[in-house]
Amino acid sequence: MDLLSRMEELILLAVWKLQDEAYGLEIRLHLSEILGRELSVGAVYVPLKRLKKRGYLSSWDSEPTDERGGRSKRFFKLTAKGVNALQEVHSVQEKTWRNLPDIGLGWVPA
Amino acid sequence: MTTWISAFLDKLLPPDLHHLIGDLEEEYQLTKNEEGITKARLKFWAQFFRSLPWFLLQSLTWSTTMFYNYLKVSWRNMKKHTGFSLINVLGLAASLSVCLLMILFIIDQKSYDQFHENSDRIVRVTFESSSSGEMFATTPASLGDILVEQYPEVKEAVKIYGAFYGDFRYSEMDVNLSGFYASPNFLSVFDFELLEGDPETALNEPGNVIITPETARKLFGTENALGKTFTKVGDRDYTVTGIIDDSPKTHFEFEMIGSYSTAIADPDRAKYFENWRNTVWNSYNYLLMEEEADIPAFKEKIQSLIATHYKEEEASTIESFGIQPLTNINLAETHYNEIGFVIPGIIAWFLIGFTIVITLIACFNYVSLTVARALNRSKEVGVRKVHGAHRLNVIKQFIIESVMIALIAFLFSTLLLRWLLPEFNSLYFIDFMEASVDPSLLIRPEVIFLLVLFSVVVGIAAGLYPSVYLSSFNPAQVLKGLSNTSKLSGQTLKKIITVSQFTFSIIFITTSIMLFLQFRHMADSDYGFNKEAIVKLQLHDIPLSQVKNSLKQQPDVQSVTAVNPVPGTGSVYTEEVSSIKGSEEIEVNSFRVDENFIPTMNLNLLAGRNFNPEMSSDSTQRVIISTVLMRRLGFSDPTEAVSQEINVTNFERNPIVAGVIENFVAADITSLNDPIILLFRPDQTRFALIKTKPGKTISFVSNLEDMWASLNSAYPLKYTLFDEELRDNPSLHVFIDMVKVIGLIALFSVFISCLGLLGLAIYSSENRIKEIGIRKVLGASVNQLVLTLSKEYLWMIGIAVVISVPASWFLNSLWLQLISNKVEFGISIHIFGALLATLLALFTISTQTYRAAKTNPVSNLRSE
Repeated sequence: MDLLSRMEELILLAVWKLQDEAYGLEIRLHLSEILGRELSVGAVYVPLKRLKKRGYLSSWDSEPTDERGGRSKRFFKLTAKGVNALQEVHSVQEKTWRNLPDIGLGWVPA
Repeated sequence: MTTWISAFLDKLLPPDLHHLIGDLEEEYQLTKNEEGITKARLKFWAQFFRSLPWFLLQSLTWSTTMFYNYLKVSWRNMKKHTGFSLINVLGLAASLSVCLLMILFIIDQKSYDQFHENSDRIVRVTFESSSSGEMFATTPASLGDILVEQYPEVKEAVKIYGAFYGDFRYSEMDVNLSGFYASPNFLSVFDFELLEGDPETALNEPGNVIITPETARKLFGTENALGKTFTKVGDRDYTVTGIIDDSPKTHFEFEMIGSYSTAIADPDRAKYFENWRNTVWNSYNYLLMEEEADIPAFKEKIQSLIATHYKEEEASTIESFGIQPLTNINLAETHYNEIGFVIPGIIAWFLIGFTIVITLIACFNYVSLTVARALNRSKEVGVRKVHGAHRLNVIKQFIIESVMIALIAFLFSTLLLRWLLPEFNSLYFIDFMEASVDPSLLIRPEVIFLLVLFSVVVGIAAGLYPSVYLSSFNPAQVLKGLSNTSKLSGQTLKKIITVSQFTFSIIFITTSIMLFLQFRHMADSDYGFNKEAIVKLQLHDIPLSQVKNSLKQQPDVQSVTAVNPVPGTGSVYTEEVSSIKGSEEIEVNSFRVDENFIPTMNLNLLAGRNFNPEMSSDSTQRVIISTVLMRRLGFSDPTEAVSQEINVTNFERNPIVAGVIENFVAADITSLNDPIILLFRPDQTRFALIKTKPGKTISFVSNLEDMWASLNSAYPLKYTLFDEELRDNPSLHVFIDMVKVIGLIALFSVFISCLGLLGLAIYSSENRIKEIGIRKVLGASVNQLVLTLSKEYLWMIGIAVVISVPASWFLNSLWLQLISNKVEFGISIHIFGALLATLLALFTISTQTYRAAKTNPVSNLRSE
C-alpha cells in the first residue's frame, strides 16, 4: 500500500477531527491554523479530490444556503479505507520514531 | 463577494468544483462580519490570484474532457443513424464542393502576377477619359520617363507599346502573332525567366525580339530558335534574342515581345511618340516604386502633369491619372485597352455572392434536418442539463458536432472536386478566358488551411440555430416524455422554404432540359444553305476577278462565289429596310454577294430572278430578299413581292426586289429566322466560297498553297473548311457550357430540396407515430396511411408546381426571344419538369411515410 503524503495525512486527520463540520472551508481554516499560514484553495482541494478518488473519503452535498451565494457545501467523511491508511501512517511513524539515539542536540522523543 | 466574479468562477470552473465557490463566498462573509469588508476583499483577491493558475488548469482539463465527450457522443449518434448522417454529410458536401471550386477559382485568379519579387512595389499608371469617364489601362508613351526624372519615389519605369502584331514569315511559312514592344528593364522589373538568351541584353537593340516556346515551335519547328531571324510581312526583320517562359500566371498576354527601341527606331516615329495624343491609347507605363513611396500622395502629385502636357486651346484627353497596383489588375475594376485578358472584379463579387447563397442553402438543410430530429436528442439534452450542463455547454456541444460533420463533408467534397474541377476547366468559356483552375492549388498548405477554415465556418453557421434550439429544452419536460411540447412546432417557415426550393428545382430542371433540346436542335438544324465541300478563302489584297480566274483553272473546283460577310460565322452587317408605304424600319442582315451566291450555296429561289452581271442596274437598284423579310414587309407570297419597290439604307434610289429566296442562317445557328437581304456588290466582297467537286475537297486544298503563291499576295494564305468552321461555332459551345452548368445546378437543387423534404417527412412521421398507431388499430390500411401522411407534402409540391411553371415559362422566354432558330416548346416540357420533381419528392417522402405506416402499432402505443 502507498503511504499517504504529509498533506493528505493532515487533511484526513482534519476531516476526522472536524467530524460533521468537515467541508472545504472548515478544513482549510483548520489546517491554516495548525500550520500557521494561509493555505491556497488548490493546496486543499486537489488532495481532497484525490483522496476521494482513491476511496479514503466519501462526500455528500448539503442543501444550498444563502450565505454561500446559493451554493451547497460538500461534506467529507473518512471511509474504512481512509481510517486504515491513517493507522498505517501512524504505525510507520511510531516505528520510525521509536528508540532513536541521542545525537547530542539535547532532545530525544519520549 | 461581487456577483460578477462569482458568475465568472461559475463559468470557469467545472461543476464538480462549484462547492468551492460556496466556500470562498462563506469565507468572505465570515471575514466581512468579523474584520470588515476591506479585509474580506483583500483576503478574497489574494486567494483568487494565488489560485488563478490552478483554476485555469481545472477549467482546461474540464473542457478537454468535455470536448472529448462531445466528439464521442456525436460519433455514436452518427453511427447509430448512419443513413441520416450520410444524407447530412452528402448534402453539405455537395454544396461545399461548389463553394470550394469558387474559392479555388478566386484564389487562382488572385495569384496573377504574384510571382514577381517586387510585385507589391510595381504599379501601373492608368487614366480616366475626359470624354467618357471610363478608365483606360494605357497612358502616353513618354509618361514613364517623365515620372522617373521628376519624382524620386519612382525607381524605374517599364515602357510598353501595344501595337505589335501581324503576319511573320520564316522560310516561306507565315504565322500570325501578336505581342507588344517593351523597354529592356521589362526583364529586370518583372521576374519573367528567359529559358534561353541573356536578359541583360535581350531587349536592347532595335529588331530584337523574345518569343515564347510555343511561338518558337510555330515559327521554327524543332530548330533551335535563338539567334534566328524572321520577317514581319511588309515590315522589317527581327532576330530572336531570347526564349521567355510564359507559364507563370500573369495579366500580360503575348506570343512575342519586341524591343522598345524597334518601335521608335525611325526618328519620325520617335517624334510621334513624344506627343501624348498619339500614344495615349496603346502605351503602357509600369512603375517600380521605391520601398517607402507614398502611393496616394504620388498619385495626387502627378495630376499636375496633365495641364502642362496639353496646350490650353486643345482639350485634354485625360481627366485624371490613376495608380493601379500590379496585383490588383486581375479581378479589379475594368479598364479599357487592357494589355491582356483579365477577369472583371464584378465576376469575383458575383461568385462570392453565389457561394454565400449555396452555403446558406446547405446550412438551411442541415438546420432543417437536425431540428426535425430534435426529439431524438431531447432526452440527451435533458440528462446533460440535469447533470449541471449550462445552456452554453449544450450549444457548444451541438456546434462541435456540426463542425465535425462539416469537416467530414469537406473530405467528401474534395472527392467531388476531383470530378468537378476538370469538368469546370473543360468549359468552353473557361478555356477561352484561359482561366482554368490549377489542380495543384489543392495541395498547397495555405489553400488547404483556408478551405478547412471555410468548412469550419460553414459548420458553425449550420450548427448555430439547431444548437440554440436544442439547448432551449426544459429538462423536466423532455425527460417526462412529452414529445409534443409546443417547442417542437413552428414548421411553417420550413414549409415555405421547402416550397421555394422545389420551385427553383423545377425551374432549373425545365431550363436545363430546354437548353439541351435547343442545343440539339441547333446542332442538327439545317442551315438553309449548302455547307458541304466548301472551302472558305480570304481574298485579302487580291482582286476577286483574279482569284476567280486562277480558281477556274483548278480541275477540282465546281463553282466559286464571293461574299461578305460569310453566313453562319457570326459576322453581321445590317441594313435598315422598310416598305415604301412607310411602315416600321426593320433591321436586316445584309450580304454583299456576286451572281454565283445563290447557285453555289444551293439557295432556293422562290420567285423572280438571280442577280445578273450583264444588267448594270443590278448593283444599284436591285436586291434579293428572304421569305422572312418578305413577310415582314407585308407581302403575302413571293410572286407578289417581286418587282416591288422597297426602302433600303445606302441606296440612292429605292431598289426593286429582283427575287425572293428561302430564309437561311444569317449570323449564326441561333438565328434561323432573321430577315435577310442580298446586295449585288461583287467589289465589296472579302471572301471566296469555293465549292469543290464531290470528294475532291482534299485534293483541292493541297493545290491551294501553290495557287495562292502564284497570286503574289502580300498576305499569307488563309482558308478554312466551311462545315468545320460552322461546327466549331462558339455559340454552340456556349450552349454546351450552359447545359452543363444549369444541369449541375438543377441536380444540386433537386438533391438539396429532397433533403429538405426528407427532414420534414422524418419530423412529421416521428411526431405522428401514435396517431398512426391508433389509425392502424382502428383498421386503416398501409396504403391509406401512406396517403394520409403524404397529403401535406402533395400540397406543398402542388404549390411549387403552380408557381414554377409560369415562372420558368417566363424566365425561359427571356432567352428564347433572342434566338430565332428555336425549338417550339409546348406546355409538355413544363409538365415533364414538374412531374420529374414531383416523382423524386414522392419517392423521398415515401421512404418515411411507408416505414411509419408499416410499424407495429403495439410498439408505439404500449408506452402510453
